[in-house]
Amino acid sequence: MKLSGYPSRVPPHGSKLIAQSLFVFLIACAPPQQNDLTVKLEVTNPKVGFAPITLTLLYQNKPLENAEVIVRGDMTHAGMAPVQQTAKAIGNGRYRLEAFHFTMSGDWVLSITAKTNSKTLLGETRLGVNP
Amino acid sequence: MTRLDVLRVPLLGGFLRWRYSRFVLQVPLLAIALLAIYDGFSGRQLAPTNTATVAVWVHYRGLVALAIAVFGNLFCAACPLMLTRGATKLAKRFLPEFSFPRALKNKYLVLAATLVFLFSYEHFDLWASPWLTAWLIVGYFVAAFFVDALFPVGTFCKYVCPLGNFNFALSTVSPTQITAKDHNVCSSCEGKYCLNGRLETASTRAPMLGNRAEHVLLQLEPMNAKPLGAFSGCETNLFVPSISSNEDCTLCLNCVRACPYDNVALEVRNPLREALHSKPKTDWTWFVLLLTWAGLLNAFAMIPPYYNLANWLSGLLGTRDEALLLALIFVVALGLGVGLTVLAARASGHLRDWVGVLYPILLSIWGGHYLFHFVTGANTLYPNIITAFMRLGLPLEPAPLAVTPRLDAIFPFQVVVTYLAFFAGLYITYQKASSQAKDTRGVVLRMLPQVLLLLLLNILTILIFSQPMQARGSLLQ
Ligand code: SF4
Ligand code: SF4
Repeated sequence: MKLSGYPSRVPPHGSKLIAQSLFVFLIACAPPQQNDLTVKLEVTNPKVGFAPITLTLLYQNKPLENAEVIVRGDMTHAGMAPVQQTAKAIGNGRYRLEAFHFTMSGDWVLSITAKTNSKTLLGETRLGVNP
Repeated sequence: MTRLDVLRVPLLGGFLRWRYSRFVLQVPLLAIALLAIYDGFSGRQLAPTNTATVAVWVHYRGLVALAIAVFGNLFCAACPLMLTRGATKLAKRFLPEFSFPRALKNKYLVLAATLVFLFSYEHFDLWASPWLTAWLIVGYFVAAFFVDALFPVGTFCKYVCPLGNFNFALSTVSPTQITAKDHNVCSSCEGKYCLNGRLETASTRAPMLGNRAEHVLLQLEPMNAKPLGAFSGCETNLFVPSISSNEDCTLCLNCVRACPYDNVALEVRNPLREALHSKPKTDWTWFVLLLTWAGLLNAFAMIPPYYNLANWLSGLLGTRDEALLLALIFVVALGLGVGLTVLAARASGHLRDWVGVLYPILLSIWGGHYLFHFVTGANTLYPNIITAFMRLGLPLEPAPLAVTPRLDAIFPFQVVVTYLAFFAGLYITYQKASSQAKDTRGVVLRMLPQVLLLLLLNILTILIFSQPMQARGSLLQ
């Protein structure tokens, strides 16, 4: 699965323009939507409950090695608490979570924070979880 | 004579009667609304991490239902949209005021707006979009301002606001209601101030408006003068001695402050009183009917069979047009539900006489559904507020991650709420049938269609609540 960037729903262009003009002061405060990593997700038929997950992280098109990787899972909808776990490096830019807890079926967003010696990189990937 | 009057409860009563109590309740909600707008437009566009989506779709909805069930329409009382009043009054000096079109002075506009809102909620996936949620809040403020600036104040609450009317509908079974303490005092009241408002000086008293053609100017003994000033009357045009329901009452308590005879009570009542005794108008009846079945549909849209149905329909019709499929589900589900209810009412008598049976069900369906989201997401707001404050530059530490409670622990509460409503519905049915029929056979014949309807609603509600919830953005796989 390919990284799709933070804004999950891009507002229509015309309205977006109006929104940006009207709320310039708000938009000016917007945090930079950091999106440094390409994330490939390997998971087989994820269902509610615990599932193993493997992530391949690419930074500037090269596998990201030796990073401390934290995976935070949120649903795309409001109301569910996040699930956060640390992934184990298994080499070649791959990181594994043996039992990631999907607490509800539906659309999930996995936000990845990868810390290396010199920087903190962010990425994101999405998946659907079956009942 | 009234029974327990909340306005007489020490401290609480004093606070509620205080002129600025509404303002004090509105300010925190305004602050949250502003933070939600800020976060919705500028924060991360992931619903569970954004104050806009969490505050509106998890907390606001859950607390509205809870407050109505245990007290009354507190969220209309604390509605921050009404803080546009100052701006509205100012605008009225420059803008012409129109009378609201006669054809729209009913609940049909609200009914249509509610349908459009519920459709948009599903189709545009509003609770997954902080950006759209922020726009919704802004749109509400703008609409409240313009409607009340161009039309008489109170028009928005009474004839336009889907949210307020939703609260009015749920409040049909809330345990409090505005009433006159002594109807004899009202009969001799010269100014009908609860409706018209009151202008009081040290030596005179007069109504602000002449809604019931009262234009009196009382000369007062200076010693007897009550608190001086201008006290607005009921903005939704309710006249206290004739109030028999919570419909259109925003619990603003203007009437309490406007009545110079201290004759208005916030009475603790039997929550089923309105369902048992009031006979609503036709427009209100249709609104309640639609809202009841829309509540079931809204909860149904959260479980896997809804998506299976959409996929099956898509295959059957050979289309992947989600708007079309959703519209079809809306029309068929609401049409069937409303049609069955009308049939049952016709079999028992008249629709308006029997709509009260639905009042407790209405609260249990919406309340049970919102309870789920509120309990599962109650602790997700605080971390988001902290994050939003940090982005605003406040020196705070990130809040710890929220923890999800066990989802299956909520189901027993939903079952209890559903059965309470079911038995309340049976009780209302029996009381209504007994008062209408002359013999046992008549009672049974009148009850039967309602009991079947209640059973159907009860089974559907329990079935929906018993399914695992699913939060998905698109209708089709
Ligand atoms: S409630 Fe008060 S103001 Fe209203 S009619 Fe009765 S006495 Fe008059
Ligand atoms: S003034 Fe009208 S809306 Fe306000 S509390 Fe009294 S009856 Fe209800």
